[in-house]
Amino acid sequence: MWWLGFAACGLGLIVHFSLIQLSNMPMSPLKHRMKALLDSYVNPYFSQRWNFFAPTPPTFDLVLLARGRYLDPNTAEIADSDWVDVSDALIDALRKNRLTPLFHAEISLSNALVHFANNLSKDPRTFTEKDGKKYLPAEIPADVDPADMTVMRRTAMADLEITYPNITFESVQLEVMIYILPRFAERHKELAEDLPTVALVAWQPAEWVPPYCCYSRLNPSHRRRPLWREP
Amino acid sequence: MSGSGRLRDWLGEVRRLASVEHRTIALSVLRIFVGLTLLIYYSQHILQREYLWGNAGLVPFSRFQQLMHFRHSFSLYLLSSSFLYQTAVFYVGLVVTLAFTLGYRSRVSSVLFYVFTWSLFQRNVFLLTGGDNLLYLVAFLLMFTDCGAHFSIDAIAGRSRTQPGPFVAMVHNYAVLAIILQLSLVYLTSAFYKLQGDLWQNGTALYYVLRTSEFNLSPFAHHFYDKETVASLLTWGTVIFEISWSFLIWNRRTKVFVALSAVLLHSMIGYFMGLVWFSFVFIGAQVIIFKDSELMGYAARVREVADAARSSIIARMPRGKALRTISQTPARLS
Repeated sequence: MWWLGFAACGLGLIVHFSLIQLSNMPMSPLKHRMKALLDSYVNPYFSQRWNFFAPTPPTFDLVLLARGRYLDPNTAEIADSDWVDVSDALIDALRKNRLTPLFHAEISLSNALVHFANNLSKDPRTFTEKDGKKYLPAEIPADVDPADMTVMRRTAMADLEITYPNITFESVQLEVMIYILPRFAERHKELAEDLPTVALVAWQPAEWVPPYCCYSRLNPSHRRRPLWREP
Repeated sequence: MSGSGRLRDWLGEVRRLASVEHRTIALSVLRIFVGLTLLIYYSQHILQREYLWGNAGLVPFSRFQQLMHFRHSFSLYLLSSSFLYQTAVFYVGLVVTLAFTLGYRSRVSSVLFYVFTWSLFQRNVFLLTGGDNLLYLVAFLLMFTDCGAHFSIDAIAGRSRTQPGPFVAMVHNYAVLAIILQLSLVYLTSAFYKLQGDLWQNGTALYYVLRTSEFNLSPFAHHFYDKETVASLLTWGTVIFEISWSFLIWNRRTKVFVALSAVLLHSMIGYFMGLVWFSFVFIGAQVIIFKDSELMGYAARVREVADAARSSIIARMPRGKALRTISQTPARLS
């Protein structure tokens, strides 16, 4: 009986890791053929991705900006807030303290931004093609990539509520700036020397979001505004 | 001896080895690393639980339901959207994690720990890193091990002293092997993809990673990519480490070098790229490559060095000062 268990466990281990390793590999005829089995066995409980910046490390930098629209009680007119740099506030907190509780707020925004940028070229509404080149439209619809958009919008709302504590926003607009990193040969160049590609998202309804913690230690008035927006 | 006799002896040796639990010290240390990581998450998130994990936060309940349906996954947080229920699951998870880390009823708490950790991670999959991915895979395998044999309440209470049956021990040993294989797979897969990338081949990949604002956190980071030689050596060194990990961990001498390299690499990732908890889990996982006898040997050597250092400090102390300290003690006591 013991030997039966021993052999079954050994065989189980071999099958388990074979399936997992096959699912980790790039698409191949074998993987394509076994897709149904791999999907049902590996996902979600044994799902894993170990690329770690490979085969291509990030060659661009992503920054999320946001602004809110509200009814100004003084003028009774609709007004827009200034743009706030949502990414920089969180990254700056991590730069000051690697153990900051804001780490998970930062990583969730970063993951959502990367997925959103990768999905941009997949949705035909997010680009126009001319002479074989792809161009971003003046405004991207707000219902593109809804899962990542929700995380981006809600992170932005949490930031706007902290930056403008006395304002109740009715809608929010996001802007993703994509800076291409200088090539290694030009590594001494500043990131902002070249203009970024700007993906402006249409206005979306604002919803109240509970704040992330420890933010009050940051000083919103000292926050960086993107240089290229200065007059 | 005949061929069948030799085979019988060999099989007997396999059975004898597989019927005794191995690497219980390493597993206990791993349990503490994994449990501590989650304890830190829970405690750091108490003040922002609603933002990170709540229904009004980053992932509203309806979106969470959609994602779970799409992923065919399960989470305890899925059972009810009520604020009270979600709060209760979070705090019960915290208590379970504390019990697991302290090694209280480890056989049961390791199962509960996996269920609550999986449920928490599914509640917001956007904030997971590779470290969390490894953590829940290891937590799954720890359920099959005797991970509370040392440094635990179970050990103090004498609950883990009874020798488990041969079948339980065999499952334990397979789980240990599975953790080692899982780590090998992590490093080999990562190296496999890196070897295909142009920027990893030409030695500049590290520059691009460290140049993004998200990972360019240290004022010293530019020293690693300013010079071509340094950038190339570090880029290629990472790939060489990842390839060699699976092969060098089986030798008594080289495994020490592998573990120290892993600690150095992951510490640098933690400091320079801000992925502290990712690094913490990966550093903790290195302990599994050591046998109990090796870990006890290192501990004995550390104690010897500490004793020698203490003796040397006492011998170098001025005699008068040492005497004065001793002579003052009774006066203070009186």
